[in-house]
Amino acid sequence: MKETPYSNIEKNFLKTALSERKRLDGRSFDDRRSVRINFGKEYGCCHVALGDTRVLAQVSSEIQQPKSTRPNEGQVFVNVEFSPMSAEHVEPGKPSEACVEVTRVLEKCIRESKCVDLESLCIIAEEKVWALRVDLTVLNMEGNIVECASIAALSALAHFRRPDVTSTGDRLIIHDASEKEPLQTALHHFPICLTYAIFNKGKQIVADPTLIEEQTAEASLSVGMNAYRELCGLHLGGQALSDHQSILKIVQKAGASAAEIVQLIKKALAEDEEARTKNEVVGLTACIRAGRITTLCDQRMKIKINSQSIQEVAENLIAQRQQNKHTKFDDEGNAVEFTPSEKIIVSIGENSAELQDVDDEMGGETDEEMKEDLSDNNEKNQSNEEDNDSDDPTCVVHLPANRRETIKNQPRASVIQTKITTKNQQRTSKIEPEITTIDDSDDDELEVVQELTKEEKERMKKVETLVLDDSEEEETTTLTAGEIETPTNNPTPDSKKKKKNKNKNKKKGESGRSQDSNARQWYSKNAW
Amino acid sequence: MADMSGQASGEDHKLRPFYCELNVLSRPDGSAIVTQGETAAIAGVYGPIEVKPNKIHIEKATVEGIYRPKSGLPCVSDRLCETTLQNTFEAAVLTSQYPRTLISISVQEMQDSGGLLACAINAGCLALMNSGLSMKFLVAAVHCMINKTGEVILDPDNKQLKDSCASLMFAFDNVDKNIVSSSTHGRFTEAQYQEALLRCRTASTEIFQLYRDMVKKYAPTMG
Amino acid sequence: MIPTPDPAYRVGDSVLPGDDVSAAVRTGDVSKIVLGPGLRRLGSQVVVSRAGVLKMPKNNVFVVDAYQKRYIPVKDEHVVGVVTNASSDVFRVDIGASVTASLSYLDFEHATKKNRPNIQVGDVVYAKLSTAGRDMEPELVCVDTHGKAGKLGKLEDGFLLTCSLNLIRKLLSVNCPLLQALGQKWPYECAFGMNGKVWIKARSVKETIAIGNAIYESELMDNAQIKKMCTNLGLVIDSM
Repeated sequence: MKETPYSNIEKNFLKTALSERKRLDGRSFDDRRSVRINFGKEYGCCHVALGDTRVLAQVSSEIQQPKSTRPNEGQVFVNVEFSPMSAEHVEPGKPSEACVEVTRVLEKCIRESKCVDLESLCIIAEEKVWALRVDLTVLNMEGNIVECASIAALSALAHFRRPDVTSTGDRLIIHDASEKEPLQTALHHFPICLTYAIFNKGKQIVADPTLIEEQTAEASLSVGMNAYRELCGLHLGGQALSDHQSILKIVQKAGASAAEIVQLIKKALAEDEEARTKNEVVGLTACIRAGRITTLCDQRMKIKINSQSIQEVAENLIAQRQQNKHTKFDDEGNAVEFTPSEKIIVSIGENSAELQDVDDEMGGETDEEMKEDLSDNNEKNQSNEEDNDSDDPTCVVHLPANRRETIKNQPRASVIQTKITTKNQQRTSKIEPEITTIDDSDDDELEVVQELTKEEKERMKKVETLVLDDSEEEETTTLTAGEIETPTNNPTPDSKKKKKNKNKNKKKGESGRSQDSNARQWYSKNAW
Repeated sequence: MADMSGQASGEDHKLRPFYCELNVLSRPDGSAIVTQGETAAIAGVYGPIEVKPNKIHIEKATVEGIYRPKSGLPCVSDRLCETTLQNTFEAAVLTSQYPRTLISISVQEMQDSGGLLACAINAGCLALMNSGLSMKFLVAAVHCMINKTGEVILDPDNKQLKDSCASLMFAFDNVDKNIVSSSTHGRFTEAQYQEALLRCRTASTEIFQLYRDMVKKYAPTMG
Repeated sequence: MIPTPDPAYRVGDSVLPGDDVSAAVRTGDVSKIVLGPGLRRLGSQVVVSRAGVLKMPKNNVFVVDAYQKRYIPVKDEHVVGVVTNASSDVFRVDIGASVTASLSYLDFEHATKKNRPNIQVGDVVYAKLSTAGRDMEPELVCVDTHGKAGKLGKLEDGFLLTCSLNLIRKLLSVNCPLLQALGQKWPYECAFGMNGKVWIKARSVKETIAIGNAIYESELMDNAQIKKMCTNLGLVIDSM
């Protein structure tokens, strides 16, 4: 089976759009898609999503005889596999050409840049060394696999712990994790493979290309770069560039991006470590529940229906649309601006969440009052932004360029458009005790939920601030947190419809929340 | 059924918390991620797509089950999982409706804390539901073990599995709750097998109810 | 032995494969019942074959509406396809189905053996399925029964969107206001393929993307919301 190429009109449209300095997904040329890193329960396992591209990594270790040329050095192998679920044309078994290329680029970047301290992997010189094997499985192919895989590989290597070994003369004892704390792998630096697609003889260079950009590009350049702006590898595919200037330009840009990604990896690692020391639930399972790997199913349904690249444009445009909606006309016919009230996400059982007003009073206020509150909130939010910078793993807020990206990600991660006003809030609180009595095992889950809520709340605040900031500079491309998907979220004075929606959402929420317990109840009924 | 009531009252009859999300991947025609306790699997379905001439069936679709471990190459036991998946889904999909095509169901291990095969089957079934392919019935797989004292423990995790002397997995259909496939390890008596079967079968209702809730939940989105 | 949930399904309920909905489809006039996709006969029963919502679009016509991305060709449906191969007398066209469809050089308006249509590999065509079925290779034509092209044929410029089959059906239903509402804002052309591909062409890149977005976003909106969205979308683009 061959991969179906994009049609001529799609490619031409992309080229025209790029010549107008527009990308199909609304990013600027240097913007990267959002990176999400989740670690598994076992050491050395991680799942990385770069936009819609997903890679699963697992590091494993075994004791081997070293190479005779390097008797006191351990070994690192990188193995990339395209899962048959990653694309239709991928066949199980034999590695495709693209797969071999990705493997080679990563090998160059990780193994040959000597980022892993190989000497520390030596147990007995010339006899026994550790061999680390990094297995990378591509789960979904939406462009820029190299970058996604390199982030996954480095995160997994940094996360991995190998068992401690003691050697007593002729015997080697490998200690179980319960006997002796396993050892971390020493990494000198994190060389990330950043990919750029080159169009029109180097006139347009875009970072982190999507699938259609990758296939339309004349050439693509992968730059291995660590946080210290050291080049660790360079791979040019496709037709060559017209001049050396372009490469230098790309390398310049790559430096900043690399530092940012490395910071992100380190933050994710630190968070995982903290959760482990606190004995919290770690692992992919926990991530799924918190809606981090994949978001809520209802919302996912909607977003995934959109084709990958366009989908983001959609979000962007809707942002514009939404912004428009914030202006409404008052009695004299003058445009009045108002912001939606702050929302927090309240998770209600698995796979669902609801938005609630942070401030109960806000719910009761009329639009005009909200308008007055706007300035207050504005200040509040700005101060929050600085405080919260370190709290949120999925948000990258380092550079202004990334801002839009951050905002764009919000709705995916956190917005299921359920607006609960004070009235409904009472309802939900009524349900809560019921649930807890039905199912005691839900208790620890509730804790998770609360934490999430806090985090989300902060995140939301931040987003709103960003929105406000951005709108001062450029009016069009902004998003507000609670607003992405349906107009019903707007505090437009269409009370009838709002009510209807509220009811619907409430129902949805309730069913989501009580699903598990329902099932159990049901079960025990049957069993008896 | 009489003997069921006694055991069902115990604490250990519960399945671990089951979470799933549909349509998690953009490329496949249907996809799902499932977590049961700390075990997690992700599945993607393509179909009906073009089939290679050497696998073609003139009168029905070829169903291909693919199972991938997290690290290393698939070994013999992984192949066995693959065959179980393939047989299970071949029975569930209405293959006669798609002659001379391929329906490929790939499942990737994400985290193994016991009962991975059952989790894989459930993930595959949800991915199939999401793809809109015609099916004869749905399947739900339940894993259980028999510990050293001869008790049946439903859906055990890694820790519990350490003192098991047998582990059994059954997949049921949602129409008559018959066994679609089963896989067992270790030694057990016929009575124990019957008991495990009954318990798993009752527990499968819970999973089917979850499937139903899932459909109810996303039904309004189809407008 | 094991109690199953209430089996009395009605139209509008969500159903799972294997559910027996005989009772639901036999409510009205039972002289003639049409079973659409997602339903099949098993002996005297009517059984559901995919998970979704049981619907009755017309009197005595029943279907199960489910989310679907993969296209299964149906005769007389219009599709948007990409030409993947051109051999001596037929084009192979990828319409997203399990096999590529064939499109003869002669099935174009004014085409003769000498006068071949100007179509290259990678071009996009809007065509109608003249043959389709589970045992047949799908065949496309770009002319109607009178030999006229009408709206069919090669599509040029613009952009191609890929979406779910449900969205296409929704937008093409009679009471969906989206296309009309958009048309009141900007002039644009579009071609909807039942295979989940939409071709759109507007005056500028910006407008094309805007329309594409509106189409994607409308998937989960009701008619009133769609109208509202169009009004707002118009304001934004016009002010840019």
